Amino acid sequence: MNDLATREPLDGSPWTAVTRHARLWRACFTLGLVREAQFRANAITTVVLGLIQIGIGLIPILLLFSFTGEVRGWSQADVIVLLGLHGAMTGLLAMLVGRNMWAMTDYVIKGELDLLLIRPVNIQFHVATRWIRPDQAFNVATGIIVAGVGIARTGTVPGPIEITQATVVFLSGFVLLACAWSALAYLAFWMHSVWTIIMFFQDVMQAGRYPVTFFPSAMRVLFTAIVPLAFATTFPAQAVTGGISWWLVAASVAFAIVAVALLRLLWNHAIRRYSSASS
Amino acid sequence: MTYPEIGRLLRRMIAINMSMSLAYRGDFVFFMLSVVLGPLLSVLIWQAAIASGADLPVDSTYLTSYFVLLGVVSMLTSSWLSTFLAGEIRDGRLSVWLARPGSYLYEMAANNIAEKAFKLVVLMPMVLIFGFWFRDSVDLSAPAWRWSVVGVSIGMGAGIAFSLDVIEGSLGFWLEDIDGLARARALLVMVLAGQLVPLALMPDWAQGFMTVQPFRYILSFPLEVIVGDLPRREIAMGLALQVTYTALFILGARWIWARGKRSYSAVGA
Repeated sequence: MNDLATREPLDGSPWTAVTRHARLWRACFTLGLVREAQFRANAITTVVLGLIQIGIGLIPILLLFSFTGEVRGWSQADVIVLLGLHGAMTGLLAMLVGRNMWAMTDYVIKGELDLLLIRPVNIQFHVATRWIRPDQAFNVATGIIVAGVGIARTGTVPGPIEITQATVVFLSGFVLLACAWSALAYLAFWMHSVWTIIMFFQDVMQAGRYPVTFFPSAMRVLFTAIVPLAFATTFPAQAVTGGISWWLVAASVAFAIVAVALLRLLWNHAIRRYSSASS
Repeated sequence: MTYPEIGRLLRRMIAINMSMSLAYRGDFVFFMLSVVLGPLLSVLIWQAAIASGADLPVDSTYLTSYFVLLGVVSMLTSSWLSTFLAGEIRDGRLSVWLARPGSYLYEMAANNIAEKAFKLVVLMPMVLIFGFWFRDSVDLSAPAWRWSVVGVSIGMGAGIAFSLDVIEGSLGFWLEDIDGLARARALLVMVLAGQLVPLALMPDWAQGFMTVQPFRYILSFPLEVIVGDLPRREIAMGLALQVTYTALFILGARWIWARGKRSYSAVGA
């Protein structure tokens, strides 16, 4: 009782809130590590499947460029860089976001959100980061290695500016895709199930294995503005293999900030519709 | 059970599964969009390569026609029972089916046929739109006998895929979890069946193996009969090989299923 009486109030300064949520995320990450240690066979399966997937992703690229030297300005090495970044991006999304988005339908239709709503944390943050899969870090690392091999094959050595640009655009692309994925998952507040929509979204993300310039102009717009694959793979690959305009870097950050703000509005709108299914 | 009894049972089960499929009609739209999306992206990528001067062993008409039909054929020959079957074994729910006169595999076959009938209705308009979009590079004007061969070949391809799924799912009698294995197999089949890239585009050194390996007969062979203009002799040889593989896979599935049932033990069994 004495401990409770002397604890600091939860709603302190913004900095206190940030550190409290950082501690929460760390606890979730530790829990994820413990879980993976318990299900080791599952972690090994993830690693093996990740390797097979990236190997299979290479097949069409190797075949495609066995018939031509370049496609719309992209060489084989450039596309391998892009494929590696795609692998890293899908690994990062699977590690930090994926399982949480799959869980959204259960939260809503089974009323599991009740137990989360009474917790003294930002619920949107908690729902988006509760489940972490550390085993997917291997796929992120494999993707980065493949991208590295691609860079070596281009014969260029990216400098600090290119690496900074690529990192900023890549992380902005991650935020944009996570927001798009979350927005689809929030449809669970209006629809019975969104699993098939999320599956379709994951299939659409496979298009990110290729530069957007390979597609007709209408699809380029789609993969830049609606499903922002261009920011996740094409632009970072261009940045690391030759540099891009700082305006594009700034635009990617601005789009990411707008996407987070819009997602916050959507969440606030969605949560008002929630009526418990369990009580 | 006699064959007429099995026939009546299957008819009834198909009817039940069709009415159950109706409950998931919204989901089927997204499933079928996914089925069309992969081939659509492939067409665009290979057309970009051709526009950039790629010198392919097949022309643009072959590739586009192949990918337009790919969605339909892959859906018709698909099977999805292995993880469900392994789940029934793991959780002991198979016990209920073992006490019934009709096998659980009849239920799975009925589910497969009913869902495909429903999916075909949803898929066809999408494929027609896809084909219309690329109408200048699609040629499906094959004589009727070739289409008949395709029909028979798709039936046998579905038989191979279904039997392969039974074999994989039956491993659940001995293994606790087959999900990883099923996903790895699906990725492998995607390459060897010609779903990822038409087998005609594989390198010369791999062509001999690609022609005789069994996964070609799940997907690629029926497509080659229509869009590849295969000579009669090669069609006859392909069909003979497909009949052999179908028989082998069915016998393998029957054998492993019977062996598995004998070793089955579960709570309530």
